[in-house]
Formats: sequence, structure tokens, C-alpha cells
Amino acid sequence: MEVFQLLGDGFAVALQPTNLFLAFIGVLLGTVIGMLPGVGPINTIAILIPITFALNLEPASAMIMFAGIYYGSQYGNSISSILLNVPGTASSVVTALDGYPMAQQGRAGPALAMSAIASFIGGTLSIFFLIFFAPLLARWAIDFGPAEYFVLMVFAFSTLSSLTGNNVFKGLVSAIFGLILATVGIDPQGTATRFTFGQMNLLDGMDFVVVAIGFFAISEVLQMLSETEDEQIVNTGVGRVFISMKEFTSSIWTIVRSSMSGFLIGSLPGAGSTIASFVAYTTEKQLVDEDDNFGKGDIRGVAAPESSNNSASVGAFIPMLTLGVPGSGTTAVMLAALLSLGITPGPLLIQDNPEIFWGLAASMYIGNIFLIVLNLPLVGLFARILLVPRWVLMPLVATLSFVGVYAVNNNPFDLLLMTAFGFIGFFMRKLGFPLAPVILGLVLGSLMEVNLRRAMIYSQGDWGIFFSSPITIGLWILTAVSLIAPIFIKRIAKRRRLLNLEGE
Amino acid sequence: MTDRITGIVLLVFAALYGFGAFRLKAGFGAGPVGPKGFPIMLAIVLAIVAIGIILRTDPDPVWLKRGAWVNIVTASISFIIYAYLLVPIGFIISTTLVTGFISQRFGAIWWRALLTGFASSLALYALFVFALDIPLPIGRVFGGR
Repeated sequence: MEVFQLLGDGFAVALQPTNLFLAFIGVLLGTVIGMLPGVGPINTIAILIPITFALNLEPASAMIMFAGIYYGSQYGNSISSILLNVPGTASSVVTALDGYPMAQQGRAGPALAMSAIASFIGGTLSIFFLIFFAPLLARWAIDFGPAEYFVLMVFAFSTLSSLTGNNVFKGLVSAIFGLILATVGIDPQGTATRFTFGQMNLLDGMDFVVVAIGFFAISEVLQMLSETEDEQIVNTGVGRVFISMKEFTSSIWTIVRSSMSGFLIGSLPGAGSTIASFVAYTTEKQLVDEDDNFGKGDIRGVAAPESSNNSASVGAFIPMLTLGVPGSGTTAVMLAALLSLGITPGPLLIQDNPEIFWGLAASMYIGNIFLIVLNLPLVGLFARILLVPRWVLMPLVATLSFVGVYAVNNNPFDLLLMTAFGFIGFFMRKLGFPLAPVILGLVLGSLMEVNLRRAMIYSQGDWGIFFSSPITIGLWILTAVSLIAPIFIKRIAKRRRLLNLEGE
Repeated sequence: MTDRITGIVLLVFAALYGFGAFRLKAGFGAGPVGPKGFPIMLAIVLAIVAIGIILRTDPDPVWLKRGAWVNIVTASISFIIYAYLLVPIGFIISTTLVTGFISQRFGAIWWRALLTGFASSLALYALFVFALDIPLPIGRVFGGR
């Protein structure tokens, strides 16, 4: 079959020594930052972007490393959930519900082993889905005109805004704020200078690396500074990391189901691995939890979210690579990286740059094998990283942020912008505004405006073009649904006492 | 109450932004929408959403204790000072100082904090300048640019 031929070519890319090395670095970094509360894939990738420029990495190589960080973080995030009851990233909040009780009962080893195995199965199954569905979607999207793209972006914003955080309006404000930031500087068709307040530094617009680091890394440092730290008793004794055959067979269908639902949810624009893990957990609780054991240390309660959040992180590449419209904060940062490397993702990417798509898919198989090795026998070693005190970790995050921001333009002005965004981001967190939509807005802003203006040029000023094709009408309906549906979802969620999930 | 105030601030912001957009002048060949169409649209949607926030408020957040405020404000000020010191006195000294300060705010005793700052700035300088070939300022006082 053609697919295997292409995947073979992908392996030829992924097995080049540089790419193999970058995949390894990516998953290693991903495991570590996924585990540490306060550092996530978004700020890590943002900090690394200037470095990939400096090293002149090929777009495919950069993507292999960034993707490794993303799915690697989905392995690592469960370690702190299980051992400390503190999720490393939002998508493992649910893992703590059963993982932490297991650790308290002295079963940290099986919980960690299950988490790694479920992650591996979820991660590898979903790559299959990726290589079969992405080309199909790309073929379908090839007829999209500017009007379709514009409405598609509206849809992406509405889903991301309504699904992250618990107030639709606040999610929308975040998205609009990102779009507003994107309008600073010379407009995309070069006809006017907007909102620069006479600052030469702003003519080229806000650099997304600066904004992303400010919003995610600096605001996180401020957030941590504002908390009075409880003395945490870190028990990194994990015991033997293994699961019995019985535990494995009891969970296998949970893993398969959760991988499938996770992929589906992850591939929707807007719904990322956080929501996927939440859905998988609640579904499995209803399906298999006969004796009401979920929440008390049921190993299937670890298997469900861990397989689905890995699967979702692979699914999230579909809208980003095939439509050029990312669905989560992390894929938005990766899209921004691709754009600045001169690659415009869209329906033609798989055809025009097969080495990026197939190389990435192949590297994901390799990366998952690295990850299972890192996370099964070596997890006890990794867990020791949790012993690093905050007064070492957080200053290091700050320093890395400074270097990352300064390296973009060698301009100290960017450090001022970073500080300002860190401060704003801190207040937005406090007031319940999700941050992921800001990044999506900033990255998509000029694309959205370009498509709006092109569509209006085609239609000679008739707004009807945005309602003229079945695709646009369908997308408007989906947009409306995505804005109204959370009200109902929230009623269910409230009953389950599981609210306050922030986008990854 | 917090959300009411937030909503009003957002409304004012939407008005100012929309007004700023309205006054933009389009150059030649800008098309039917021009450079102001998209920003005006954003201002309108923001205003609508801001009203939504005023009407459907969340419970007030738990505000910070005074010590936390002091931490956040001083940390932010130290970042700003850093931006002005970086080029004149160079990466290593300025980063040691600000990183040490942050470390101290996270509860480290002063010599450990300074050591953390010095070690991390030295390590990153080596990594970026020597391994990755990304220039960082040496400092004007040391003859850098």
C-alpha cells in the first residue's frame, strides 16, 4: 500500500542521526517538563524556537523535537500526579484521582507502570489514526477558499474558548485579546501602521515567542511566587515498576476505548488532551466501574486518562498540519514555529512537504519507544527530579525565559514586553481567563484577517460570502453548538466535582 | 463584583481600541475591508462579550495576601531593571542578580540564592554562547557593545 511506502520514506527521515537525536532530546525534555508543575510544553517549545533558528534546523527536524516534547510531556505529567497529587500539566489532573490513592496504598509502582503502558498504547495507536485520517482530511480541505478558512478559524476560537476554563465569555475575551495583539504593527497587506504608539520596536508586530513566554512562563513564576508553599513530603520511592497480567487484561479495553475517544477529541480544533482525559475517565467510570472503585485507587482510572491524553496529543496535529488551524495552545506555538521557518501548513503540506508529515509520524513511533524505556525502568530516577526545590527550579525557568526572549531579536525591549505580558497573564489567571486562546489568537490573527479581506475582495464587498457554501454554514452551526453545549456539559461536570480545567 | 469591574474595564478598552481602529487611514489598494475592518469587528465582539461577563459573573477570586503582592510587584520590577541592565553590565552579572533575587523570594537563604543565580547564569552563558553560538551581551563595562 501507498501508505506504507510513504511511512517508509518517513522512517528514512526520522532515522537520520540528527533527527534521531532530536527525537530523543525532545522526549527526554518532554518527560521532565511534563513532570514539573509550572513548566509545560508551551513555554518549553517557545523558549526553544530561537535556538532552532540559531542552529538552522530543518523544519522537519524542529517539528520532530517539538512534537517529542509535546507527547513526551503526556508521559511525564502522570509521575507527579501519582506521586505528589500535583498534576504536572492540566491533562493529568484526572490521573491523580486514582493514581495518588494507589501511591498512598503503596502501589505507586503499578500506577506508574500502567501509566507508561497506557501512554505507549495510546501514543502508538493514535499514530495509525493520524497517518490514515490526516491525508483524507487534507484532500477534503483542498477546496477551502478564504471564506471557509475564516469561518473555520471562528469555529476553532469558539471551541477552544468554550472548552478551556469555565466561563465561555472569558474564553472569548482571551481569544479576542490574542487577535488584538496580532493587529499591532504593519497590517498584513502593508497598507497601514496600526497601534504601535510610535514605537519602532512594534512595527513588525508582537513576536509570538515573547508573548508566549511572558504569558506562560513569567506569569507562572509570578503565580508560584504568590502561593505560600506548603512543605511537601516527596516520596520518590516507587518500588517495583510493573503490572501483573491480570491488571493489564482488566485495563486493555479501557485503554483501547480511551485511545480512540482521545484521538477523536484531540483532533477537534479546541478540545485538547485535558478534555480528552476528562471524557475518558468519566466514560470508563460509567462503563466498567461496577463496585464504585474509581477514585479510590482503581488502576483503570489511571489507564483511561493516560491513554487518552497521549492519543489526543497526536490527534491535535491533524487540524494543525492539514488545515493550518491548530486546536490547542501547544500546537499553536508549533504552527507559529513552522510559519517562521517558512512552511505554511495546510491541505498541501502532506503533498508538498512529505518529509515533515511522514518524518514526524515515523519519529513518533521511535519517540514512543524511547519513552517507554525512559518511563518504565528509569522512572524512579526521573522521580528524583521532583526533589529539586522551587527556589532552584523557578529562578531557572525565569533565566531560561530571559535568554529565550532576548535571543529572538537581541533587543532588551522584548524583555519589557515579556514582563508586561507576564503581569497581565498573572491577573488573567487570577480572574479566570484561560491563556491558551490568547496564543491561538496571536498566531492566527493575521491569517484570519488576510482570509477575511481576500474573501471580501472575491465577493466585491458582499458579506454573504461567509454564508454561501455548505461548509461555511455547517461550520457556523458547529460554532453555535460549541458555544452553547458547555452550559450543559458543565451541569454534568459540576455533579462530578471536576471543574477548573485549564487548557494545556 | 470583581467580574463587573473587569467587564467595565474591557468595555472601555473595546471602545478605545475600536476608536483607534476607526481613525486608521487606508492606503491604496486595501480592498473593501481595509486595515480597519478587522479591528473594528474585534472591538464590537469584545464589547458584546464584555457585557456578557458583566451580566453573568463568576464568584470573586480569592485575593492575595500582602506578602504575595510584595513578591509579585518586586519580582516584576526586578525583571524591568534587568531589561535595562542586561546590555550595560552584561548577561552574567545582571542574570546572577535577578535570578538570585527570585530564588531568595522563593525562600532560599541569601548565599544559596546568589549561588543558584551565578550557577544558572554561567551554565546558560556557556550553553548559549559556546555550544549553540547564540550571542549574549558581555556588557558595555567589559568592552562589549
